[in-house]
Amino acid sequence: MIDLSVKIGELELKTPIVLASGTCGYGIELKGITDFGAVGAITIKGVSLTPKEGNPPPRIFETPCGVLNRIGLENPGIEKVLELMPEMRKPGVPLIANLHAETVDDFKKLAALCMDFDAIELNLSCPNVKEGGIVWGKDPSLAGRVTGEVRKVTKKTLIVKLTPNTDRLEDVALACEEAGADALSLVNTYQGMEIDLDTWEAWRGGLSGPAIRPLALFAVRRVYEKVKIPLIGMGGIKDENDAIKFFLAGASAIGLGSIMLRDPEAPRRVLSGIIKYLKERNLHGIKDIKGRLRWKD
Amino acid sequence: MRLREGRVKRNEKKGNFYWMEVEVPEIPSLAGPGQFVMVRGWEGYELFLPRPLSIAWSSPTCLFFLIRVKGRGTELLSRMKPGEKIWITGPLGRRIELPEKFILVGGGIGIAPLLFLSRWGKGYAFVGGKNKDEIFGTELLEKNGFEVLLATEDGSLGYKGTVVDLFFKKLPERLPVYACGPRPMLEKLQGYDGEIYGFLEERMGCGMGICKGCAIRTKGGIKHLCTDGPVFNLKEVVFD
Repeated sequence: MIDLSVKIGELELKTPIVLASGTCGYGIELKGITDFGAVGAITIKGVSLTPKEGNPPPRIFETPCGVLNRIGLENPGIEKVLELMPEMRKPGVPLIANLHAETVDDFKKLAALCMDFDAIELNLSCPNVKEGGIVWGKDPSLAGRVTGEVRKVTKKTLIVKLTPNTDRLEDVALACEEAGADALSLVNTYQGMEIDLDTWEAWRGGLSGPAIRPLALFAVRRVYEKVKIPLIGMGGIKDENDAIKFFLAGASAIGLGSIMLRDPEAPRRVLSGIIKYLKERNLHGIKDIKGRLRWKD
Repeated sequence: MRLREGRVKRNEKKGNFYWMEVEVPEIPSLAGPGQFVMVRGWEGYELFLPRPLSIAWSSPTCLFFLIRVKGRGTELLSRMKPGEKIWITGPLGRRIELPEKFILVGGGIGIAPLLFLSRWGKGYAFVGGKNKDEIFGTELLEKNGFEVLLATEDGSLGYKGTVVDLFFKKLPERLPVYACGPRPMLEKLQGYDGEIYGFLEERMGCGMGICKGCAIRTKGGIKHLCTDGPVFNLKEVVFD
């Protein structure tokens, strides 16, 4: 008997597969395409207090084994997103609200408005505009402070999504844990750039897809060795082999991101592969492999 | 609208383009005018994303694509051989309502989605390209009841000049216009004194509205090619 359920804070996931923010819309768009029976939770496209138009085009570039995006956090604002709740509930899967804000106050207001979601995920990859424009997730004290302040206004399962674009990743993770985060999801995209050969125009963006998988895996392991709260590991997972590596590195659940753009049926494919892997080795669940890698260097 | 596995039936070089027929029985009966599909002809991950392609024609079990080699993805597609597997999601995008009679204006590879539109009406088709190797589909258009007017920039076929010049010169009657072609062409067509719609193009991620990658500017704010388009009222589009 294989048990694929996972507990993330108070959140009970039927499968360890989470749809990552920004690559599954509000779940609504995937109706009739994605088999939600394979999905443990949906993380909706990041939402802010007021609507955001996002960046002018171009917004997306294909790179070798990956995607560089600069969508610019486009969203219609929390009020409009809450109106979608009945539609978002239809897949019957727990919903995680991914929130981004430029001030601690806005993060708190947003969190307080998310009563109908099953969990909250803070996107700390955007800048703290009021205090010097430093990205929340680059600095342990900033990350800890915003997590702690949001913790005060919500009893919901609180997940913090970490940016890998910092040399203090483990300290940021620890600070979030100490401030009351129930779980961490990592990693967000890696900063990169693209240049047009004809016009020499250049754009900054976030890199995702299989190209970042070894980097993301290493980030998950480093954080796993420091914190006790569960991790949702993500970054370039395209199939069950990648997923299992993240479990071995210490993830309790995994996130599917960019692969959804190419194969929106990936959740069922990956889940079937995970079950096959466990069965063939007579293992009973994710807990039997979680964190169990053996360093050989 | 699931991800379907199809098979290439033929892939022939026609001038500067490739005419590809793909057997994918689940999709043709669902496809309407203005819609597109996401196509991937490879299993490896180096080219990570599928490519958006216009539906150029269909039979009960097959879709037809007109392909011009622009980058690595279209190059790989152009080299595909009959019998090879190909993955297709669709139809995607907004289906449009067509009047009985309308005008088509196609520049180069832009003729692709217009061929499909010609199935649903009659009228005039202005077809242009750099030279005669970029003119495709005129017989099909005529068979569907369209009077074809040709333009090439080098004069190797039809009127010597751009298809937009020919359009404004020879405009037969004021009918709704459906255009597809390079951005400068669509920009010039915004000056048409009547209803005008254009197929737009932008870098696309998913084709299904989940990534918000294919944004375009309109007078009504940002819109998305894959869910609000790819056909837009050209008068509403803001070109940068």
